[in-house]
Amino acid sequence: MNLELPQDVNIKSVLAIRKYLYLPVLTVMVVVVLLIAVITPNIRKISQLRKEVKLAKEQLVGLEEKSNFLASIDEPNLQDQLTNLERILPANKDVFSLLVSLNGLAVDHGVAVGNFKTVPGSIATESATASARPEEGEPVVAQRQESARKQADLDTLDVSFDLVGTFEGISNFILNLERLKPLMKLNTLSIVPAKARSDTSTADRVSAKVGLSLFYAPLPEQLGAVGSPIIPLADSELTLYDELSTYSAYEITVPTSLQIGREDPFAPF
Amino acid sequence: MKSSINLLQEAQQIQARLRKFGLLLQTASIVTLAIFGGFVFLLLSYTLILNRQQNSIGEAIDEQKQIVEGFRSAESKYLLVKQKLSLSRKAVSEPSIPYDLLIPLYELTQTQVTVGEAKSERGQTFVGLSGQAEDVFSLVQFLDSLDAFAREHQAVRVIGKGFSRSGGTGEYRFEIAFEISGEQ
Repeated sequence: MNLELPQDVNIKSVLAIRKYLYLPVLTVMVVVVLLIAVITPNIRKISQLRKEVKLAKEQLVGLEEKSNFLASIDEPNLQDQLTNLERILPANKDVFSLLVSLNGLAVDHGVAVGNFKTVPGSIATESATASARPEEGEPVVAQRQESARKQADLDTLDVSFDLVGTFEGISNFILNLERLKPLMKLNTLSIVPAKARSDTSTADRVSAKVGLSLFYAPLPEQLGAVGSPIIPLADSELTLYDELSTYSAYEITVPTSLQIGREDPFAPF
Repeated sequence: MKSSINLLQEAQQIQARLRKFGLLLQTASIVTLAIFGGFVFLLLSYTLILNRQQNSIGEAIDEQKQIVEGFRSAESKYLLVKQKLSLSRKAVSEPSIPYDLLIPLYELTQTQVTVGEAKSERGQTFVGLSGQAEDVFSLVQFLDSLDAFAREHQAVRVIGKGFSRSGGTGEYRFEIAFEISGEQ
């Protein structure tokens, strides 16, 4: 029995089939390399880019709305509103305008204001207070939050004074006191018949000791970021503004043509 | 002889199958490569598109920021108006002393008795009243009118009374406190 293979079916011819495996192996390698080096990082990058593009689109829409809104603002009207609000809620301890208002109200109701006292309070500048200085290593976020809280705060200046007048005059003065510019709130009120403090006063006169807080709001130290959204004034805020605008305001009137003396003292009379 | 022929035939069949399988593998590899190539191309193209989109949006944002910067003055004024309104609301809504009750109460007492002091402080829910009555009749009359006043103003409630009779003059001194509930 002859078991030799013929010339056509030798081992070489069988192994020659391996040439068909080069491409598949190469393909697998290429696929693996592409998956690791290109596809996976790109899918991650695309996911990240999509998020960024979405955020950027929202930011763009917000900025467009903001710029359109700001363009539609009537700036002279806004300036008037601001001036009015500055008189309603001043940026500093405006004792002078308080005195003018109290004096005007007192004159209107025929009462006399006296013994005006005020407590200056703390110095407003941050650099003056040791606690305001940032400690080394203190988180910046905490400082910003503290700064934002200070900005949003409403400060008060405590004031006390005495009133003397008729009961009707004093009661009208008190009833109108909290509808004055600048804004103030009564803290204490003590009404005493005037004769209890002074025997020379007439019986129908009373005196009152008034303690009040004058409100003021320091100006913000920084403006928000350009991209921060702007919220239009709500109807309730506009209503409040209209209501506050009706509050009484008194002004010092200085005569423009006040004759103090002669322009030329050597001129003949 | 016959067995060698069989072997030859089998070997040829195997060879043919292997060749066929090899061709199939090659074709599948080419298809796989083409699909992957296409996929990679699409991925890269999409990444490029997103990059361009991001750049163009970034430019548009910068442009809008410049426009907004131009309105910075108006914005600061607007924000200040808003802040002042918000703080004004806070100031207006701060509780005040009940002077709207203190004044009519003081007025009421003037008719029957002599008021020493009518006092009210912020943060307290009552007003204090002290004075003196000439005799017990005017004191009782005054207390009656106080009760009527308290009934009229449902927020007012007498929470404390103190009386003392002065030995020298025979006058009655009194100290009364009213609670103010704030719901009228």
